[in-house]
Amino acid sequence: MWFYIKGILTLAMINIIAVMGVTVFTGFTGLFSLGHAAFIAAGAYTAAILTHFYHVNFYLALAAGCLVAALLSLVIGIPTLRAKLRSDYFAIATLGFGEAFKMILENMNITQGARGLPGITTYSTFPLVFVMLVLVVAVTANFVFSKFGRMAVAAREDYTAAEMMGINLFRVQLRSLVFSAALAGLAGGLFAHYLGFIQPSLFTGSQSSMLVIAVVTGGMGSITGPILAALLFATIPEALRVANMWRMVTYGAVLVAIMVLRPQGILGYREFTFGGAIRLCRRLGSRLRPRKPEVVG
Amino acid sequence: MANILETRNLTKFFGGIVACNDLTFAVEEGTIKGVIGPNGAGKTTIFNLITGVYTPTRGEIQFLGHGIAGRKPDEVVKRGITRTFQNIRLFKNLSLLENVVIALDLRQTRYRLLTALVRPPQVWRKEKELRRTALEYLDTVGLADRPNARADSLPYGLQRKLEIARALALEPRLLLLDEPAAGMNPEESLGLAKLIREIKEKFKLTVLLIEHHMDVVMELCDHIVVMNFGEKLAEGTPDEIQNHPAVLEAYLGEDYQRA
Repeated sequence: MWFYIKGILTLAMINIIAVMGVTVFTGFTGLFSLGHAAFIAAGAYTAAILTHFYHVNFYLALAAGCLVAALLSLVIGIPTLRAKLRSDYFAIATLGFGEAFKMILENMNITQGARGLPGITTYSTFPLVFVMLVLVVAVTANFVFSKFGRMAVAAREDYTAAEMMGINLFRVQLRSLVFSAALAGLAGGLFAHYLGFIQPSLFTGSQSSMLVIAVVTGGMGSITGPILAALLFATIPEALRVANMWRMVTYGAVLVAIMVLRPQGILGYREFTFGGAIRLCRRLGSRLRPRKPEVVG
Repeated sequence: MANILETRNLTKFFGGIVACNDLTFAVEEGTIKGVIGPNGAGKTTIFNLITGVYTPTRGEIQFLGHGIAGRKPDEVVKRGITRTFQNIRLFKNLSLLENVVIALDLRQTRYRLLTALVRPPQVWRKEKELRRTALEYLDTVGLADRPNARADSLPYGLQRKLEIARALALEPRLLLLDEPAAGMNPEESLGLAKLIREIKEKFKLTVLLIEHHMDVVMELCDHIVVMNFGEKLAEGTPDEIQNHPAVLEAYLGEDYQRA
């Protein structure tokens, strides 16, 4: 049983690392990407090829995966962001980019095409992934709560006002994209060395949209919200295994319910704190008890 | 004193529409200059041209001896021109304090990206200091009592004051105010006029302002430019403007004498 739970949690934590990148890009910078699976794939294939064929040290391979994903993000980011593509236009451009990258993976020799890469050494253990996740969350929080995060938030809130604060929109948006792609690359490297096998069909557009879904349902402008959402979405399908064919239907229904009941996300523009959770419990508790008449003045 | 800002033959077309035509005027350093005119006269267009939101079709803008026409907004801000907006553009989902801190970053925050990611004590200290400074700016415009409220929870008039605090935090030499008293009653707008005079003295600013409240304009401004249909109609001191026949005609119509 522990083995099974450990497996689910490790995958969930790898997913959260990628979600952290999208949190910065979508939640804090306000741009939507439907092509982040490409960055995960770039990280996964780079790291896996390096350890598998060239016997490079695992950590170096992970770093190389980050780097390649970051460089790849420049390929799509520079032309689209310079052309001031925004919202849906930008999302569609990244969607096309993600699909194109998958096609490239399917037709290259070194990636062994659609057959995929089997037999990758499984270095990504539960404790290792956990340490990586803690580091990633810390770095993400440091980024967001610094001058650089504020500049991104300004760009999300109002383009014109942000420019009037001396902010170069292109640079700020590109910085967030590169940061998020590097994290996606790291997640990819860990993913490849967890599963031991990768193939292009693992990195689809639906995986990209799952990342965005975690950020939007978790709450824009929040770090802890998307983490909670990603954990929720990792555990719901597992907990519902008993429900069999209704499993994914329920999953979809939960998504719809969150968006209808809390369009700003579970923790929109706020962070989870234990003090806040206790206050919330008290408030809910007092709602259940009969209310005393309030004394005014 | 010397002119801090000069425009020469400044012209902007939008397709066939002339938003601003052959405008030449100057703002003397340390003064308050008003821009008035009927709706659609091209007043805000001038602000957008100066701050780089629009690129002029023709003409020049000189700020402290540098040509800034066609520069991008973020470059113009760095040279020392900041503004507020007619249709308030705050960072709505953020707190009052955060709105000002973002502005402070331009001049005050020097740490680099990699340093920020590791967050050593110097970054903590800097962040604390930024919040203190931001609070001082909020205090200047009288908003220091609830710095953590969300910007869009403020009433309209206070949102305009927050915009002024944010513009001041960018440490400008020239402050452009686009209808700062819009939506205020006469009492409030006179209070605002007093505030503008105070900050002008405190921060040694030059102010260029667009305003419809004539009592504010006449009370505050050393010089006034009157615009109509994208052209300069008149320029002078408040007294001169109040008795200028072309101005009276533009505001009251040709038949004002009979009315």
